[in-house]
Amino acid sequence: MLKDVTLGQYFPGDSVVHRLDPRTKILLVILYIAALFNAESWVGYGVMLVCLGAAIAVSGIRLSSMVRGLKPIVFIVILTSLLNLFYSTGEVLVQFWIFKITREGIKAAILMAARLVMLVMGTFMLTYTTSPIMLTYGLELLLNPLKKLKVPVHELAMMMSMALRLIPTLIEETDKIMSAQKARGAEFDTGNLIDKAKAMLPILVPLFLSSFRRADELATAMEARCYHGGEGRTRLNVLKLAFRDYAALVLGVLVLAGIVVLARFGL
Amino acid sequence: MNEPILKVENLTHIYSPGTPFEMTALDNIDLDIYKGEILGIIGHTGSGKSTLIQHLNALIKPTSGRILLEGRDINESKQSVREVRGKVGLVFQYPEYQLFEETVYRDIAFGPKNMKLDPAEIDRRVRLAARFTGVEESLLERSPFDLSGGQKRRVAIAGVIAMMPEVLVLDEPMAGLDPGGREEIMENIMTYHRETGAAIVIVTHSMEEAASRADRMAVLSHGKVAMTGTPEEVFARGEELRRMGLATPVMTDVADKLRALGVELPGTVYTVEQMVSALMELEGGKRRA
Amino acid sequence: MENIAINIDNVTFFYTPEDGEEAPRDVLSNVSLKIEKGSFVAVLGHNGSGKSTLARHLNALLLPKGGSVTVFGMDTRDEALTLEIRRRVGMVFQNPDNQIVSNVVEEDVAFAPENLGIPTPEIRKRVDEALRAVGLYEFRAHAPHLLSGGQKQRIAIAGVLAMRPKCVVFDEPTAMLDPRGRRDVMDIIERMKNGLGSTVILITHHMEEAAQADRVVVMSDGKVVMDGAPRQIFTRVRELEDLGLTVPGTVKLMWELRNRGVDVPLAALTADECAGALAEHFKANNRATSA
Repeated sequence: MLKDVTLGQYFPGDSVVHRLDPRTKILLVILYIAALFNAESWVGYGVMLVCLGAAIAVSGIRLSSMVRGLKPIVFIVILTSLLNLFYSTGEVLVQFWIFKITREGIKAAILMAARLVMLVMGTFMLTYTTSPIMLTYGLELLLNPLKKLKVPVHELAMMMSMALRLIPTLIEETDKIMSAQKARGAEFDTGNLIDKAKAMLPILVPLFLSSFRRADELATAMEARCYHGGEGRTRLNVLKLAFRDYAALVLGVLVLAGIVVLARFGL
Repeated sequence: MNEPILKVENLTHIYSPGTPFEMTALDNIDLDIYKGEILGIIGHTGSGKSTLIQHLNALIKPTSGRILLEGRDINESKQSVREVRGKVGLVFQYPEYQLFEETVYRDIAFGPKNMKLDPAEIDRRVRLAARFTGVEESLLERSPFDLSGGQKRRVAIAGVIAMMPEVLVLDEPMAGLDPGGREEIMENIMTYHRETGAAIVIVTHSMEEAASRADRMAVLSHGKVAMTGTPEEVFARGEELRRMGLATPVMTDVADKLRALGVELPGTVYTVEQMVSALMELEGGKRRA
Repeated sequence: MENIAINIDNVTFFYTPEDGEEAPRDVLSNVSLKIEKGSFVAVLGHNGSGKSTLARHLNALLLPKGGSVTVFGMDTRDEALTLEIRRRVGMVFQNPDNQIVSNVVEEDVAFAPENLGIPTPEIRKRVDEALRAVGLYEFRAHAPHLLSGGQKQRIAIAGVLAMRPKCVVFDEPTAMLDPRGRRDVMDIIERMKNGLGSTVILITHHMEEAAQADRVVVMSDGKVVMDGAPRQIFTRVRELEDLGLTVPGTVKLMWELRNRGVDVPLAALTADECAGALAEHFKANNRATSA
């Protein structure tokens, strides 16, 4: 049941998208999001959709995996679309009770849904094609200048990678504890909201305790392997920007510029 | 032998069917568990043992096939699922990590409470289960998290025993304990078995323990039941067991080697006691001569 | 002193009590042990006997409250030497899940060398070498959480080998493994000892594993109560059973036979040895009978 969670999932591969430097991919996602929020018209969205589609096609990630990842946000997408649908002013098409649907409302609803879906899919492109370790390493390098401002960049990156490392273990653990309590007759799907919340206790208490225990043991093991903060650390895999990274970044900037220009002309 | 209490019929379980991760964990399994017997299930990691035992109380639903509890399909209705959870108790690996209540008493009472028993009956069962598992009265009001590893394990097992299951299934109940702790847990389980006549199913990869207690053994390999029979019958097929990646009891190894060296031993020998009596026979023969 | 890898001198340890708690009980009291370079020492004892606490003193994870621990000539209390000590004394823990730091096998193995600031090409060399040593080179790009317990434990060992330690402490490395995983881990330990000449300290509950060591140390209530060759230790059947421990099944068999007046040697640490000794005894009998 919990095995369907795609958070932090990584699909190993050898495509150009996979091989891009994680820093490049992080910057591209930022450019992509900026462009998405600047796009205002069908044309703008069309351009963004082509970019996203091209990236997905090149990466070799299956569309079904992308769609499966969208499940958790379906509710939010529908809700925001509905709000946009009913709360826009303009040319009224249908009217009933206190609701009126306008031409502008329909457009806003569709574009808002598209924006959210494309936003999530774009970030998936980053996490699906970049191993968590590489992702945090990239982030650490990008944020390195902040070290001058006493921001604990290395520690934050290490925390993030440890969290990502523990996610699969904790998911497995949750499954196991749930089964064990079910075997003792616990039921998680009956009763009202309060009953259901109470029923979570036999899962949450052991889960918290075991997370603390694991974190403690992991910290000891890291210490035993000479971990002593970021100072003087070297890397097995050193990141180097290649030609393709520069090319991808230039392309990204051009797309953003294009979208901004289009928006200027009301497109 | 008497009639089976649990019957596993043509059970197949496939994980993530229709995806690239599709995996057949159980492949057409038939297995009977008889009233009051001690059944040892052995198999290497990935042989399907855990998947199988989770089917026995409807935690996992079969892809195909059925499990019958006293002749009725356990997955028939919500009610039958509830019933099987009470009648087939399942103790997972490292069960002490599932303790959650403030006191030992309340943790042991969790199962009986879920069965909606009346308070007097719950109290009776908690104390009985504590007695079976050697959890002293004075510990009942303590927090389970203050206990030693071995005590925690016994409390966790008491939590399942308190449901008074007719079949008690335990997955590697002695894993990670020191020899003294292992012996105690095994004794606790045997006490429950003797006093209630419940069937015991022990999943283990420790051949010594399986050998010394089980009436019958089932060997799982690659999702199939590769052998069933008495320990004598199973251990007589030592070479096959070793090919399946299972270690044979050390006494079987000694017996095989002795035979190879030309010492004649009767039948199958797999425990120290059996070996002692077999060798004393030989010694006696010599002394008489 | 030259051939001594670790010198534990009169070590006492207790956990400092929190406010309001009663006075602490000694977890270790006056423990002294000298561990020779290149030796394979097994440490036995029931749960709570202080074995793991002792182990954590060997690489400065814990510091003695009384006495001292000297590792390859370095006092563990000297903070400036902590890293030097830890790179020489590697440690493998019981639960493989809780010592793996990365989602990629080779990144995990690289963790210690990275911490030590070793240059990238050298890390690559060491990682490949360590993964080959544990037979998991083909799995270098895999996610550890999808591997079996035994494989995970071998990755943890590779992670320690990548430091090129002179001594490795194993704290119940096989407790959570199935027979196959256990055998794989024991094979690696055997190879480390013979091939690499490393000093190995193995804490275990499995008497058969301890029987493979050169020396067995038995602990009880924070003290060393027995110390000697496996042959000497495992023949003290009664004493071990009183300590909540067992002896290998083969020794138990010999002991039972001797109690019944059969004249067989007590020390039989392997099935081969046991069968050999028994065959000799009983065939001699047969000859005596037929003669």
